[in-house]
Amino acid sequence: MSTMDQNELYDLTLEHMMHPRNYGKLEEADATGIGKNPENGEMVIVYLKVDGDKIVDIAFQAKACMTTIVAGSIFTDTVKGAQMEEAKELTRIMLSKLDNVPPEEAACTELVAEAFYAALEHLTAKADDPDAVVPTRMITQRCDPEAMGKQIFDNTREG
Amino acid sequence: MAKRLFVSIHEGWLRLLFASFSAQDRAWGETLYDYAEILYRHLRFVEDMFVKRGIEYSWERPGIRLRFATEGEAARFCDEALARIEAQLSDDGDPLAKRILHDLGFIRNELAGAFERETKIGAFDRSMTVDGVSFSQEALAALMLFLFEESYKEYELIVIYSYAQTRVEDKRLHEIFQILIDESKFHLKSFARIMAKMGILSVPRMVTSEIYRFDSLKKFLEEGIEEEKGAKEQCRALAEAVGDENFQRFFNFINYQEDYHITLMEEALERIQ
Repeated sequence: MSTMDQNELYDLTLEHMMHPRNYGKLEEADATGIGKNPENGEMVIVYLKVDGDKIVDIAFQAKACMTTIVAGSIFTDTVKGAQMEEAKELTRIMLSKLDNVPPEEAACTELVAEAFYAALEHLTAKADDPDAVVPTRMITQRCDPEAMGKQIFDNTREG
Repeated sequence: MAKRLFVSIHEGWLRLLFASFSAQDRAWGETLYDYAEILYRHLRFVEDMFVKRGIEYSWERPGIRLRFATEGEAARFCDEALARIEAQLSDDGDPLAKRILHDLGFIRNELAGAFERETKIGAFDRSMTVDGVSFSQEALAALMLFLFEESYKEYELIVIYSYAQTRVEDKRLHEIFQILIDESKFHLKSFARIMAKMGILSVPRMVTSEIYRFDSLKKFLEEGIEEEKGAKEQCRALAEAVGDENFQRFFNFINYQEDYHITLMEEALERIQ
């Protein structure tokens, strides 16, 4: 990764820590999904509002660490306004890259992705049953909070 | 209407509070802090009244982005929020509404006197230094993460303890929650001042109802004790990671305060068991 890229990543991370995007709830969401870490109880809830195949709005809330907040903020910022298939593809790519990142960081990203997948499941289920229960999906990556702190700013700004 | 009023006062409190942390002129910053405390009391007076009357309200609120470059702009930023509260109240003889309106009138007048302050705010410049002290990359990473995590955590605790305090009848429990609220306010102020000096000051994200509403006070306290132990450990680790001696002393000072929080919460747990 070039120096420029590293600095941009650092600035991006800091910006999302200072001002998380789309944090909160969506009134009258079309679908809701929960991602949960069975090891420590951390969880993410994703709310979706769709128009046909387009994600017109998305929000998330989390009982989780700052790494998860940054992941949720960047993810929701990216898929907001996207077509459903684009968002699914992005999530698939994101998950496929988790093998290359430290497990602590991977767990936080997976938490957000699983919550999004759960929201998609809810959307499908609601087409048949408007009262369908909000699904919960568990993550598979392990999260070590002590190591995590060291990872989030590994891409420290270069001068 | 009630829900909107509560959110507006909450926002007014946070705007004043974070403007106070950001002020370069510390005497003015402390004045703003006192005004923020008055807004917090309004919030609690209103909460108490809503609970007694069975009126629905929420500690949830929209995100707040601090948008000002000078102390004058910060004063206007606060005034906007206070004007919104004022617009929702009328002096119809209700003692609480009357009290709040009088307070707002005074504070808004003081803020108007500060509109022309041109002192630049450095709280968002990302200087990453504190009083001339800079950090190794590793220490900086640990410090930043700690500050973002813990400033949210302290704000979260203020919300949770406030919500809980309004609902407990036991006098000692009430006292314990008040001590913990005061302690969290001090911690939030301490961490936010460091963030302002580093140029990374921001208002924590909102605390959702799923977090601040508890079904069981016992479970809430048990989890709270574990969280305090976690915070204590984080403080200890940070004191080790940050090379500067003054910082180490400060984080050890906070760390020992967490010890007493655990004692208080254990006492609270015993009282309800």
